[in-house]
Amino acid sequence: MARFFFNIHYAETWIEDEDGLELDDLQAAQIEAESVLRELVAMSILQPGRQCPARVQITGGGTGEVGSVKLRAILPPNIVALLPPE
Amino acid sequence: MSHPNYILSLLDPQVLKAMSAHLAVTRLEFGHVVAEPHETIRRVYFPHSGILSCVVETRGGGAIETGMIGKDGVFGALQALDERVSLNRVVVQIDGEASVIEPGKLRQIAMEMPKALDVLMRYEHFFLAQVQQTAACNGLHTVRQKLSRWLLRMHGLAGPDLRLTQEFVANMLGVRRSSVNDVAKDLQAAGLIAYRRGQIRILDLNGVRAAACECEEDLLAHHDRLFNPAIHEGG
Repeated sequence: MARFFFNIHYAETWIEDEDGLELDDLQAAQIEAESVLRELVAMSILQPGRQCPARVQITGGGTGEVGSVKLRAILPPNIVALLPPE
Repeated sequence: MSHPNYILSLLDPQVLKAMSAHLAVTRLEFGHVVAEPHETIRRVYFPHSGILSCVVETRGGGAIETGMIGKDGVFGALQALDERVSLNRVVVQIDGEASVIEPGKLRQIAMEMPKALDVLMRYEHFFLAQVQQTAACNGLHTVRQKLSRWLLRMHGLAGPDLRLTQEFVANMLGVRRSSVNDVAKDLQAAGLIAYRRGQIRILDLNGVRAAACECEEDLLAHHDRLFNPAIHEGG
């Protein structure tokens, strides 16, 4: 088990995760980050005026970034097709 | 006769006197499981302080809180009255103290003293209203509204300083911990709460009320109708 932190990045700001979550490994953290991003995107759609996050960054305790999930990765393919190339 | 538990404080002095001989006081320790699903309850709890949380767990490992019981209520009375089991898990969410009584003894007193039965049944109606309101809130409102509503209820039962981790709050609301983090930071930036790891302090109760949905206000109105019907008479 290891503690992973999930920082939420918006276009111009970011929300630091100070608490973190104990998970088995990085793969579990990647799945958690994806679920977090899906829920936050849904919240931004349901709540007018709320920003949509651009990505969720995964860090380990003091080890910097160990993973990341971008908005593009969780959007349906027909929506991704409408976006400009990265 | 006054009592730190609201339900016991509503009882006629002679009913409370009869019950007091069978009441003991116990500590409520954080995380202690008061009842497991489908198990016969061993004691009926009348909290003086602290909070009990009724949690529905799903087979996939998820969980969500459906009701809170604090100094305003009682856990286990309905199960005691009909000798049934607890339907869900009930855990201590905030440390405190409670008066407890054996289910059989409470049943005997309630059958012998209709006034006691009346008070217990009114609370069970209120608890059902709370569960229904929570279901509506979980389905219809945003995480910001839900968290604010939840904090209002916590404040009403336990005061402004709450020892709670984001993970715990997320489990109670049935959302991801990061969503709680995101919304809590938003409420903190607005000056409504202060959050440090494991500790939430409500700084601006009216602000939290404004950020919440109408559910807590509606629930308190249900409470008034059941326990103070004179307020609603004539209008």
